[in-house]
Amino acid sequence: MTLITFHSFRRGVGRSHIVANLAGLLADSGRRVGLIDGNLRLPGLSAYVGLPEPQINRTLNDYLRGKCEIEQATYAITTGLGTASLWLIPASTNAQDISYATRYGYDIDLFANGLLTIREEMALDLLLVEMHAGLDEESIRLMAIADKAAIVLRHDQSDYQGTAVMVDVVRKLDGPIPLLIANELPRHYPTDEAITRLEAIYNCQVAGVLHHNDDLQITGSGLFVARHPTHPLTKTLQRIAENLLS
Amino acid sequence: MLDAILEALADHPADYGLTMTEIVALPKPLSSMFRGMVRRRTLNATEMANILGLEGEDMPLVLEHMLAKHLVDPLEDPQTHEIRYRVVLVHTRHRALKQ
Repeated sequence: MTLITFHSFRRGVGRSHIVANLAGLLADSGRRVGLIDGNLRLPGLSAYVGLPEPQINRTLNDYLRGKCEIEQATYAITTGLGTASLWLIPASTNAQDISYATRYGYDIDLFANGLLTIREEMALDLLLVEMHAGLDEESIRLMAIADKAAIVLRHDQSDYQGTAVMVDVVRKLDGPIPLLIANELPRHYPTDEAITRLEAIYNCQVAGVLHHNDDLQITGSGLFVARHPTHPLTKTLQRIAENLLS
Repeated sequence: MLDAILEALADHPADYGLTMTEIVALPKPLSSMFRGMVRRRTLNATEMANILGLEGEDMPLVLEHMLAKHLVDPLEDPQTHEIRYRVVLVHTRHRALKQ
């Protein structure tokens, strides 16, 4: 099984949207994919994959507070992409749970043990974990056990600097392979030029770049790639999904 | 190599556990050994000695220092009775500001 963690230096870079859709595409390619919302401070993956709130009884928060086994917080997702095998472990969107996680943190060892359990129980090929923005003990700990650490960034000078710090930490961990996904590039910025520039700056693989697209504002339930299978953005995400595994 | 490792351990300011940030900042090969411990959950003394490039009686001495500073926990494998070591990770470290 391959464990890929997703990070970003700043909030609001489109990380959740990208992770959710990549998970759907990777599951659609025939792999058994687990997706974990490790962003306990700003949870949201359940909305992106179309898991209705009333269906969620147990969450990652419950597992981390010893209230349930991790399997009890795992939900099979109907992706709208054929027979894709995707499971989500959502984070709680309850205000008290978010406040508790923000104030007290959580046992990162328990989190790591949960990853191992779910990998074995679900016989997963891939496990994607979305972490919160920024660099702290929890995100570094997860990076340290990942096979690949994907960092999402925006086309923004301050985000470029923060991302450099994150790439440096991933390198120092000497295990995970750092990958970059750039989001919200200006429409006129050529893809090849952007990739070449990013690879030169960070000296690591760029899994792909996504240009600004107003169509993302179109609300709807479930994965964007399932609702818009022929959209150029879906094609770009498909290439990124392939690059994640290359 | 032994002296450098013992010096790095002595320089570690806290007397209980390591944060991930501290592990990343440790000099090699200590940093590599703790990172290996995080990735593989536990290491035995031989695996630790291999990463640290130590031989003979050096590893028990280093282990003694690491145990004294509570940087690692010994765990006995229930089946093989082998002693393996797990890094003691702490989440945050609060230090008083120097006056």
